[in-house]
Parts: sequence; C-alpha cells; structure tokens
Amino acid sequence: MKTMRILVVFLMILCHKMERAAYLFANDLQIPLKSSPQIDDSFQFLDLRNKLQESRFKPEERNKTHFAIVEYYLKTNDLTDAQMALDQHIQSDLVDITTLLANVYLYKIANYRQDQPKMDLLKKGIFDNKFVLLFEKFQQIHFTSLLGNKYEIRHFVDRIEVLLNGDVLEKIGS
Amino acid sequence: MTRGIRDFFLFFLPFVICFTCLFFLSQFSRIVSAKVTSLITEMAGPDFSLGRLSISSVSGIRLERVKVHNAFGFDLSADAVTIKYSWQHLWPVKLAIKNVVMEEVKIDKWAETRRFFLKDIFSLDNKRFDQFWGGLEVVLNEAAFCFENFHVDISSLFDRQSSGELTIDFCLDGRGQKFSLDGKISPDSSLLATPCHFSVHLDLVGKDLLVDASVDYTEHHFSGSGIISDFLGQPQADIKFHSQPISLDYYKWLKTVKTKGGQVSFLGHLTGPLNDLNVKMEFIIPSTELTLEKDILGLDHIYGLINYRFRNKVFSIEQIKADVDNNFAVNVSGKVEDRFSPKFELRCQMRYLEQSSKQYDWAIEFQGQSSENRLAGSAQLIWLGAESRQYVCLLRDLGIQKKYPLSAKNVFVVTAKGLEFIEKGIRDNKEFPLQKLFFDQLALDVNFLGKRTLIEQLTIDGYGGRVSAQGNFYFNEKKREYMMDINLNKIDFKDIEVFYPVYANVSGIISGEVSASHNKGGQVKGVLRAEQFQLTHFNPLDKIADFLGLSTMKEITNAQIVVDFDLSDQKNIIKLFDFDSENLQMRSHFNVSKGRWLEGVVALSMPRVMLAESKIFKRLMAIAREREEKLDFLVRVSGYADSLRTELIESTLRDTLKERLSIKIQKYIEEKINKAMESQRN
Repeated sequence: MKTMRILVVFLMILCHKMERAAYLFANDLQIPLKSSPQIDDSFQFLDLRNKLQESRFKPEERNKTHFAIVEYYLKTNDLTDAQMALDQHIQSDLVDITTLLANVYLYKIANYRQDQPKMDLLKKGIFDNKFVLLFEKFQQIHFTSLLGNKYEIRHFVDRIEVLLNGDVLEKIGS
Repeated sequence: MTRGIRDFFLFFLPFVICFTCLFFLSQFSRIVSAKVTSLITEMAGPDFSLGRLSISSVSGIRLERVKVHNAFGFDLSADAVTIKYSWQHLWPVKLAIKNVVMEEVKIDKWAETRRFFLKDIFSLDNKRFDQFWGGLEVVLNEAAFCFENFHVDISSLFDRQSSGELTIDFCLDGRGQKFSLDGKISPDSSLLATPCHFSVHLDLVGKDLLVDASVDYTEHHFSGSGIISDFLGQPQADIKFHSQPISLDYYKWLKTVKTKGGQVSFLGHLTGPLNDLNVKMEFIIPSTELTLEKDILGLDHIYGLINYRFRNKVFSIEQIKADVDNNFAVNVSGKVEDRFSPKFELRCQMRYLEQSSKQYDWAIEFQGQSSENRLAGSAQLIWLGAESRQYVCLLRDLGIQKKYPLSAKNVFVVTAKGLEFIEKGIRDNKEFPLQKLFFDQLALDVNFLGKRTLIEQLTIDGYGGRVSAQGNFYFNEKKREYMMDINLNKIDFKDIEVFYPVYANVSGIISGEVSASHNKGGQVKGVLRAEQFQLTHFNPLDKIADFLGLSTMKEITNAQIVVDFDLSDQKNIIKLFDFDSENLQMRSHFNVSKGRWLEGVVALSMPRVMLAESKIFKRLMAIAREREEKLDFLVRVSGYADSLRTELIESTLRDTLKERLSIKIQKYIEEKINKAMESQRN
C-alpha cells in the first residue's frame, strides 16, 4: 500500500513536470493566447466538440469552430493535438481567414523546429492571395475567434504580419 | 652323315625355321593387311581415301594421308592414323581396337555447323562384319582415341571477318567415358593477339558431362567447372568460371592512359545449348586512376555486367558503372552488334554523387553504326533541369568523326540534321511535353584535351537565324568548371513558351549574347534584344494590367525589347527587362529567389488615352483633372510568380487623388479594384 502511494505521488510529480515542460514549449513559441488552462475551458472544449458534430452547421461556422478547437489545444499546450488539428484544418475545402491563420500557426511551429522545407511549403499557402495597394501601405483584416482572441492580419506587398490580441504573433516575408 | 654336316644343319635349322615362319608371317600379314584394308574401307564407307597403309605386329596398323568425307558430319583429313589392336578370340574372330592415334587432323567448315562431334565418339558402338572370316566383330567401345594437333577452323565463330584456328590435343577413353583435352587457339587469329591455352577434363556421368577446365590467356588464368546436361541428347551448358585478380598494367591498350593501380577480376557464366552459347561476364575493378594528358581521372567502384551470344554475335552491356572523380556516377548500358562494323545502341547516364536522389541528371542515348572511322546514327541528350523540368535534344542524321585522323589529337567533328529541342514537365513521375523547337542543322568541333572538353565551334541553324557557341567544361573532384558563350543571331521565334523564371509567351526576331558559367554555383547571364516582339501571358505585366484595368496591355506587339539577366542557382536577377512598343514603355528589374519568390520594380509610361479605356481610370483622371498626355507609374511587384502582389509606389495621378478624395473613397476605390481583380482571377 505504501509502495502504491509512493508510485502515485511519483506519477503525479511526473505528470506535473511534463505539463510544465509542454507549457514552457508553448511559451517558447511565444503564442500570446489569453491565459493558462482553466477548469471551465474543458467544458468549453467539450461544447465546441459537440457543436462540430452538428450537421446543421454551415461550412464557415464549422471552420470557425474547428479553429477554436485548435486554439484550445494551443492554449492547453497540447502541441501534438494542435499540430494534428491544424493540418486537418488546412485540408478543409473551404478556404477562409482561419485557413490563413492555421497556416501561420503551422509556419510558426515549423520555424521553431527549424523545418525549412515545411516553412517554404507553408509560405506558398500563406502568400496565395493577390491584391493591389493603390493608396494604402498594407491591407488589413480583423478576425475574432470563438474563444475571443482578436487577430489582425496586415498584408504588405512583400510580407505579412499577424497580431494576436495586440501582440505580434508572426512576421513572414521575403 | 658326318658329325660336321649334322652340326652344320643343326646350326642353320633355327634360322631356316625363323625364315620359314617369317615367310609365312609376312604372307599372313599380307593377307591380313589386305583384309584389314578392305575392312577399314568397309567401315569408312565409299568416301574414304588412303595414301599408304602399313601393318606392323609391333606398332600396329598405320594409315597415312587419310581423308574421310562426312565423318561425324564433317570432311576429315589426317596425316597419319595409328591403330593398335589385339585379337580377343581366334574363333569366332574378334578384333579389339585398343588405341587410335590421329596426327595433324583437320576438319573443315566446323564453325558453320558448330556440331559438337565428341558426343559421336562417346557413343561409338561395336561393329560386326560377316564377310570376314565368317563374321568378324570389331570392338570399338573399349578404344582410346587420341588426337594430336587437331586443327579446327573457327572462322566466323565470333564474327565473319575473324580467321582463327583452334589447335587441340586430346584423348578420349571410351571405357571410362572420360577424356582430357589440352589445346590452344593459335595467335594468327584476328580474334586473339596471343595464344590461348586451355585444359579441359570431361567426365560423362549418365547423360551429363561434368566439365572442369582452366584457360590461360595472356596474363589471365581462368578456372571453371560446371555441367553439360543431357550431353548425348540436347546438350545444355551451365559452366561457371572466374579469374584471379590481375593488374591493369598488363593491358597494353591501357598504356596510353597510364593506369595507376587497380586490379580487375572476372566472373563468368556460360549457358545455353552448345550451338548457341551465351556467356555472361562480370568484372570488378575496385579503384584506379587514369592519366589523360596532365589530368588524373579517378575511377572507383567499377562494375560491369556484359553478355555475349555466340550465334547472333550480339554483345550486350547490361551495366557498366563507375564513380568518376568522386564527383559523379556514370552508368552505361546497351548492346553492340558486329565487331568489325559495330552497330551501337548505348545509353550513358550521369548523376552527381552529392545528390541523394537516384535520378540521373544527364543521359545520352546513341543509336548508330561505326564504319571507316565514322560514327553515324542518331542521339538523344537528356538533361534534368530545375523546377521539375526535363530538356531533351534529339539529333538526327548524326555523324561523328576525327577531324585529323592521322593526328593523336582528340578533335572531333560532329554534324547533325533535324534537331529537336523538347521541354518536358515532370509531375508524379510522369513526363508531359511542354514545347518543342526544331532546328535545321548542327555543326560542332569538339576537342577533348585531358579532362577538359573544348567546344571550339558550335553552330545551330534554324528559324531563319543562327545560334553559335564556344566554351569549355572541366570536371574534377574539387572543382566543376564550365563556361559557354552563346550568340543568337536573328532567330525568328514564334509562340515560344518561357517557363523560367516567370512564364511568358514570346515571339520575335531575337538576337543577343548569353553566357553560362560555374560562378555562384551555376550562372547564366546575358543580353537579349528582339524586334517585332510579341509578349503575352507575362505574369508581372498581367498583374499590372489587372491593376490598371487595361486588358490591352496584356499583349505587347511590335515592341523592341532588351533583357539583361543574371541567373544563378541561388538568385536570379533580371537587371533589365525593358521594352518600347507603340503605346507603352516599360523599364523594370526583378530578383527571383530559389523558391520562385519574385521581387521587382516596374516603371511604366503610357498615354492618357490608353488609360481612359479603363472606366475607373477615366473617372479617376477626371477627378484629378489629369491633362498630361503620358502618365508615369512606378509599381512594385512581390510574391510568388503565380500570385504576385502589387503596390503603386509613385504616381502623380495617385498623389493628386489622395489630396482630393476622402480616405473612405480611397478605400472604396481600392476595394473596387481588388474585387475586379479577384473576379478576373476566378
């Protein structure tokens, strides 16, 4: 019994350390998501997952919901699930603002891992849109996710800047 | 009778008896000789001729100048045949042939039929002749047959112009059905420069013949063993042999390249029916160095697998591969028919060793024939380019010959008619043609000086003009140098698709100079000028045309163009891409990075009337009260070649509008233009 107790305590310490390591890894990525995981978030996540199952959802809504799940994984420092969900997200038939943001997140992860071939591939997806700047210096797009994170995307002629809740999330350029 | 007379008679009596016996013996020999002669004549048949026959109780029967027509399927002649025999029974008479020695035997036209007659000797049966002494049985299957200096004409065995003769000594023991064979192929053969000695031991076991052989040719010693199965029926050879490693220094034909180190060893496999033999030979040379002029050419991991089929004289190279200068891997395959006027079908592939891909970067395919120091045929050069592109050059009516046949210089003249350049795309390992260019003829003077290849003069005529080039290549372990100067003189191209660095469709009379060199890891730079130039589907220009809302701008006609570019593996710079057409002047420069990311600045000057074709611009010019006949724009383009972004950097019209329009309206106009562009894209 005593041995079991020691084993359980050891496992708890190990889990805590692993969680901490994952959190630090996410912090290294410098993703300025609002807060560390809260108990309520689990219910929010389950709610999002349930919503995703609903067939009455329009594709745009489904994309937004799926992106919120991605954000949840990033928020809970679950990078493996986040990467899987991001890969799944960019495969979606519908291409919208969340596709661009998913590509930016994947680029950031690839950059952190110094995976240059993947970065080059993702860059092509990020710079897929054509536009003309006649009077402005950049094109500006705002997006608020279902988890309340505010994104600002600035399309310059030669680069893209993504701001999350006012902080720079990523700058990608030539 | 006195004692003296009696002693006299007794002294001479043995002599008398001996003389009497000898007399009767000689009479008996004469009878036997006559009988044996008629017996041999009977055995040999009507096509037998004999010069002289002598019978000796000591040395046996000796036949001289023997000729037999159709013996074992051939015309056979022998200077002498000695037959040793014994009487096994006096009644019924049974003559056992013990030993037959044939000297200086010749058979004609063996190579034409290639009948392996030894099996006839193995299967000799005893014969019975009833007309002699009431029935004479001749025992043949216990005899030993020996052939001394057996000459076999092997002309046309390897090819029709060879005149070889095989000289062999061999003995066949009919009782044990074993025989050994020692011989040589004489050096007067055009096939062999030196004699080839061989020793073969054969053992008939059941229907199969076991073979154990060794061959000595020059410095090579081959030994092998195997089986000829169903030897008395449909014989099939399966013999494996190998050689001891031998230094390359022994090869006289390699003296000119001064080999340094290296040993070669062979492994062979002889298979097939005896009249249609096939030899498969592998050779391995771990490492060697050759000296070409003053250059050292390093060859490593040389491996060859070649095949020779005796009947149709086809020499096929399944594979010969080597690593050259620790720089690139070369692989040669194909076949050669006919040794004296060879027909080639060869493919040579080359791959840089530094690349992990197994795909070959270069390939040369040649089909043709060599005659009178000239190679004639057709060739195909294949080059794998960047961006999943493959470039193919087909050369028809190709001729290659030495420019100075009596000189040691390796200068060759190459001519071809009907050239075809094909650009292919590769997707999912499938090739699809993108465009083809046809030229009339090619003339090339190429000089191989050590490891340096000098293109002394290359001219390609076609499209009403001429492309001429000069240059050289030098590949080494440490450096890879090349330099090529190309001159284009009034090439009248129609609807040529340019895929790199940016797609465009061009027509026009093009002249200019282009140089390619190894600098910066591979660099192409030059200046091109064109008259009556037409340009369509040029993405940066299309982009600007979309931006301005002027579709007429997408097609440039009757322009004069100057392109100055510097393209390398790392970064491509188009220093100038300027053209002047009737309505439009453009000055531009672009940088294209390795991933096809394009950065460029374009200065445009166009008439106000032309801009007025666009409804939006017409209104904007009205708002700005623009009165200038020509309007200038400085535009920046950036992004991937197929999704470029555009920014107007400088424009008086834009600046005036900025002063006169509210920010809301400015945004509205910008949105409107982008929507228009998006709708064009869709």
